[in-house]
Amino acid sequence: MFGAIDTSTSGLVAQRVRSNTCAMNIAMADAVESADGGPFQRRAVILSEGTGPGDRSGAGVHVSSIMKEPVYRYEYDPSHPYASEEGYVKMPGIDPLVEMVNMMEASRAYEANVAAIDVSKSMLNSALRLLA
Amino acid sequence: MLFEGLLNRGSIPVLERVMSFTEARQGVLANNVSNFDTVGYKVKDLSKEVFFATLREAVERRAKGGASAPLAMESTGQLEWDGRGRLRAQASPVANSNILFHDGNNRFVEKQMSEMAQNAMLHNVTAELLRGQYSGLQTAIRGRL
Repeated sequence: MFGAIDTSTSGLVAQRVRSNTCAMNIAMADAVESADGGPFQRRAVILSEGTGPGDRSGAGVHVSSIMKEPVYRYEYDPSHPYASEEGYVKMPGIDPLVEMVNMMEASRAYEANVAAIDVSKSMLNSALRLLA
Repeated sequence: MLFEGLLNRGSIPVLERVMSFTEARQGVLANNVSNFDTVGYKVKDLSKEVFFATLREAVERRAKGGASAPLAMESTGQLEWDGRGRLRAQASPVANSNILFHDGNNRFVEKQMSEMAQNAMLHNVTAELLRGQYSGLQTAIRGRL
């Protein structure tokens, strides 16, 4: 039964990482400089089945990698210091709408895991009441 | 000896098996919920139909063997019961659970959540019945109401 709660917790952690990443993407939507050189690259969270953090049962979900996506958009702004000779600025290819939708999905999935934990907890409680 | 005889008659072992099963199934359903967004994940489950069929067979077999015969559950592909009634469960993917999404996942959110609620209710009712059995035994041991 504790295993079920661990499994759901791994889901919580994975969805939180996902929503953090979306927040980062939104915050960086206009960042033309980054540590990699060039504009910020959009981060994508890859979820995969199996060992969640601190879970040794092999169940649950975990973030297997956070990938950088080298997609860019070009904005026409000749006065910009980073403008090319044609007058275009290379910007991160981030669509705030897509990020918001992803974030909503992550928060719904988070809630689903919380609901699952509630159910597991009620089952655990009823089993523990057998003692008293 | 005495206690084994006390605890292995009537509905107690049956209720214990149901609780083991619902507990194992809760783990599987929680795993499905945590993998709602995992690319390529296929919904898994433990078949409750198969479980209840083996339980019925075991109960009928015990009824023939007399009151103190043990409740011997036959192991199936998903559920492995050892001699002492402990369960090792291995969930398998459900065939045709739902349409396959573009990410290769065949999640069915509503069904999973309602299955989970039903499973929890079955578990809680079973626990309550088991509690009733135990308190009956306690009353008998104490010898007064």
